[in-house]
Amino acid sequence: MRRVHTVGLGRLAGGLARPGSRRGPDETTHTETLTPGLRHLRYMSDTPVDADEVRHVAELARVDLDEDEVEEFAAQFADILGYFDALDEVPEVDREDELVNVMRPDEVHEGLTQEEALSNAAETEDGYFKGPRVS
Amino acid sequence: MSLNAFITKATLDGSDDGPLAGKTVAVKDNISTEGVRTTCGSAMLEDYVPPYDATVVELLKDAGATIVGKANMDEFGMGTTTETSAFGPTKNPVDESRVPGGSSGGSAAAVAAGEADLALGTDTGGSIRCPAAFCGVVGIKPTYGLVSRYGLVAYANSLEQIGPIAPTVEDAAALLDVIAGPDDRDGTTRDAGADSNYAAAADGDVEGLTIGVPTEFVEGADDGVEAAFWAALDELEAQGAEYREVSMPSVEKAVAAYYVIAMSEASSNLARFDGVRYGTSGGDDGNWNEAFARAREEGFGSEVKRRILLGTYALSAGYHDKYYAKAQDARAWVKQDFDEAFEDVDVVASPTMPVPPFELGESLDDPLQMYLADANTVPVNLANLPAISVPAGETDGLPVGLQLIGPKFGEETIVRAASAVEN
Repeated sequence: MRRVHTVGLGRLAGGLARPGSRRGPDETTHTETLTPGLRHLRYMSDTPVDADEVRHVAELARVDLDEDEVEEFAAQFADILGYFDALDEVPEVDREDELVNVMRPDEVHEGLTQEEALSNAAETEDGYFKGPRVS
Repeated sequence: MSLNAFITKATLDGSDDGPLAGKTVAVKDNISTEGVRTTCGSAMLEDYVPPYDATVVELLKDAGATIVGKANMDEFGMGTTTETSAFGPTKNPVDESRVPGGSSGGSAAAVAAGEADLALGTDTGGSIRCPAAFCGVVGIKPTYGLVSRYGLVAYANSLEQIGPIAPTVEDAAALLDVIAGPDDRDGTTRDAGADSNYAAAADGDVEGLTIGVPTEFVEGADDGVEAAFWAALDELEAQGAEYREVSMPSVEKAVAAYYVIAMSEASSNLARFDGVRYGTSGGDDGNWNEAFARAREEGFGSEVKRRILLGTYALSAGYHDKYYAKAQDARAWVKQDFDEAFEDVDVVASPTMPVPPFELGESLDDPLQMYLADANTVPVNLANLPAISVPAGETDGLPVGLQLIGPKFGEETIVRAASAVEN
């Protein structure tokens, strides 16, 4: 009495990306980078991800990669970002939520002691975290 | 042979009496335990010892539970198999050649194997329900805001909740009763759940309950999983529930939307791991950018790097509107589809996972295929809703989970419906 489906997971993998109205990087003025002052409005193309682009994003994210990882990620990112293109078909949705800020006065609570806060640091000096040099 | 369900074994005694007196609990290793290392399954935090307890850990201790260890997990919760853990994979106690699911695989395996009576997991896109389904136990992903996230090491704040894993629906609900409720240290918690008695709702009474089945959630499932799913629905029908098909076209976009949002939040959240205040140090050579990048290369595994980089990409100049903004539209669309469905039905049902447990090592090379396995669980997180996975038979000797999704703060309804599946 019920339909028995015999479709494989293939439904999930393919057929979702159809041509839609794509907004490319040219049409936006939004700028957001991880380093203040750096303004790459278009630092990557809209088409497949190459190794240089992976290296650039890794630099923004402060993650060193070895060459094998760069090659592997370039291939995988092309697949994954291609799948994300399915979002181009999402309709405009009226969001009913009326969001309002909820404010409260600051209150002083007991927190960690300085010693506790420093307890997991690799290096400390005079009760402070010790980090690498800035430049 | 050990299942490798725990990263760290410990015995933390609770108070002498309380609703969980005499119960042992495994706590997922991304939930802070004072004085006991909390690794998140990552080499980055191999030696990290929190100086404070998460709210849920305080509540467990107050309720008389004994915490028996920190459960293995996919690194920072990023995975569907518990194979991305830096501490090695956990085996599925039902079939040790299979994965336990993830990311709370250690928690579910510990409960299924009797190494703990109960467990806490966390669910960002299915990480409680998937391992519950794969290990043949019960898992609940609470409504967003029901359980405090204070002391949970954040991966994707807008999606994740802490929740219970247990052998039975009633036990899972009783553990949820202990951890639910508002917390002034987590501004997203709500008053719902303050005086809950979800355990009492496990009465198996589904007379008159209306169950919606979105065709989109069932198409594409493995044949054996689908057969077990329909058999469970037949059983609920025989007990007085009725079922109808509903349509939720938005869920076709849920996996893409979920991964864009989760990766974007992860790229921001995990920026804190710079090796200075805690975690693997990048040493003193070069400037701080070089030291941070070195710490993160050493400390993070592949899946974590992949998600940080993709999240950085999705939020970056020129791509924010294409990926992140569209994903938020898809999220609103998914919420709207659920709202409409709940005008006609009391709960929405689906197979928890479209497939039986993977073989160990089967899926590590193809991240996209792994993401697609989360198709039925991620819509729930996008819509902030509660859902339960309850065992519903087997396929080829492997457990199948039935997922029951409720309206916001409808935990009693899903507990009641799931308890009938156990009858």
